[in-house]
Amino acid sequence: MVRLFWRKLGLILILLPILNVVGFYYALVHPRLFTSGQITPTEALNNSYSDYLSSVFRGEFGFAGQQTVRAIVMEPLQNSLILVVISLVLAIILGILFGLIAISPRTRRISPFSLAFLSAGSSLPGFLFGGIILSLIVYQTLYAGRGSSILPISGYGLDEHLILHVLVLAIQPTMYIAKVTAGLLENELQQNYIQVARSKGLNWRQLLWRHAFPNMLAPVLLTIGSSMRLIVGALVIVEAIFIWPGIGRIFLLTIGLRLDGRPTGIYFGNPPLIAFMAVFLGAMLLFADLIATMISSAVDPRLREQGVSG
Amino acid sequence: MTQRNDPLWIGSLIMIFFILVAFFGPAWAPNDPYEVFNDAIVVGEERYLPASIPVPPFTLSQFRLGTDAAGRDLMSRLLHAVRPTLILGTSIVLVRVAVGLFLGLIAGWYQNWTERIIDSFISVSLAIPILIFALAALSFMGRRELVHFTLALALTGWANTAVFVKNRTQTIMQAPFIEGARSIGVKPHLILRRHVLLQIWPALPALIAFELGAVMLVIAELGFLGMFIGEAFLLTAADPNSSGVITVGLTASVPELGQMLSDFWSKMIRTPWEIVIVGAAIFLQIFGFNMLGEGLRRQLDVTVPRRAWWRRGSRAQKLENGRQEPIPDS
Repeated sequence: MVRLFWRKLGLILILLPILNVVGFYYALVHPRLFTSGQITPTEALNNSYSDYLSSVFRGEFGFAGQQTVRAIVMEPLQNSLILVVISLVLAIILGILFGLIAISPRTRRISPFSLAFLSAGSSLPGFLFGGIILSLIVYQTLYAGRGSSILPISGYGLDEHLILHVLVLAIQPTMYIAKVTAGLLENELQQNYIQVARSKGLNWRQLLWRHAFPNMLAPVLLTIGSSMRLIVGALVIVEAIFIWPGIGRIFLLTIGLRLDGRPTGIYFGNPPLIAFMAVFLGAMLLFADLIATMISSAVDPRLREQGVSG
Repeated sequence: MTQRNDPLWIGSLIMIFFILVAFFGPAWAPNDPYEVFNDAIVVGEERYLPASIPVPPFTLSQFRLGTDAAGRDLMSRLLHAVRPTLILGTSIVLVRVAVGLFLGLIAGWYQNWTERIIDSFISVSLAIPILIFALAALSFMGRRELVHFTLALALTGWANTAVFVKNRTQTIMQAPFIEGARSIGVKPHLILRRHVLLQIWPALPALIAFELGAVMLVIAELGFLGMFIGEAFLLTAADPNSSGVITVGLTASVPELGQMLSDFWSKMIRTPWEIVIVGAAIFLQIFGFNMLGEGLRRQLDVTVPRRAWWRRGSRAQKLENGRQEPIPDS
């Protein structure tokens, strides 16, 4: 297990600099930079990678305009991390719960209603859900005659602001984890040892918690990595919808997309900023994967054996 | 204990509907999807001006689902939009599955440096969220044609298929018949084609259906963020406060489902029905793909006892139940 940890960590330490270099050069050769007139080719070439590296070691991570990237990114980073961590934890808990509920004790299969619910939930694009809730709240505020809306719809705050954001962010990964849990559990309940446990006269709860659940927990926890991928993808959209001052909005600015159609500003195509984005987004996913692997090999001894031998 | 495979039926019905619309939709469309209706339409006392004030659905028999923000018939656009969206999604998924199948087979077969290299490609691809990669790639390529979308979504999207195929291949490699084929000196590529691939084949339809659902989701999200096929142009209208012209929104000429969700907020105010109708269409499409995938997965799941639908009648049932032969020991 320790060896597996070091191997994964080593891979991360190789991958992150690669992502950094790729992000930086992506920004340097981006064709729209030269046509938009915000940065000239000579200026782009002066912004060399060695300068950037020395700036990284000074802890500034390069410049965008007059500000250091560190100063630009510090606050949004925390805001986004709060959202991501809360949504991830919620998605794991709710996902496993939904997955357990989806199995019908009588047939030991996924019940038809849960199947429809889970499929429908994972087919609903998060932005559509968020946008429709948002506009319902707006219409309610406009036409119901109340002065304020029932939930805050934009901006930053660690109170009711979180409810809608986390809801939209967590819906896809929750359904994904629930589907995986239900599928694995259905598979597990067909095994012979479940038959034995049933003929011993164990009731459903004992069957589930003592026998089936521990056996399928590890593969479920392994999907944290993929759920993180879904969350980080949706983060960009959620922050665009709800105007949350996070990393996803800065990302949209760096690739020149603004939903309100105003000019893109100095963040557009800024090499140090894009390099930082690439490293940060990659690191979130890779570390989520690392933690998932560690937790799942901690709960399942079989994976530990594999990790030592492989 | 028989079990019907409802997801397969529901998914197939939805998909048949969408494929019919993709083939015949343009012929069924009542109006030209590109035509902006500039003329006033007078019905009784009411005057409608679709070009400046969008017509809500079910008010004019000419526009059953109303007009969109630019004053074009929404129903015609919707009927035209299904075909390009399906072509886009299918081409992306075909490239993804082809690349994933090829690399997955190779990585599963060879247990040496080849596997390591492909493995590291897979982990790099899985380390980038697909939406973020697609945004960056489309922004980099600048143009937005079918080829660019396919590249942007397939360049890292093959990894899921590759992981699946690799794991399956490594399981199949343990089977005795592979050892048999090897021991009589069959060439590796022939073993892969004749033995391994044939074993993976039945799992592919479900995989393709799930991939299609996932790709449609990403296409819709890209459309929402303003990345869609075809030329985009700004929609302007006369400013009510001054004599100038203000920008109302952004739209495209080519009808495509993802594009019809772009410029969400301006549409939410001016034409909320467009968001609801197009959103429902996209939801139904993704739901259909997911259901189809789930149904196909169940159909191939050997742990579910199932009888063919033509043997489910009461008479056949009675015959089956009446025949209580003991299973002979072998």
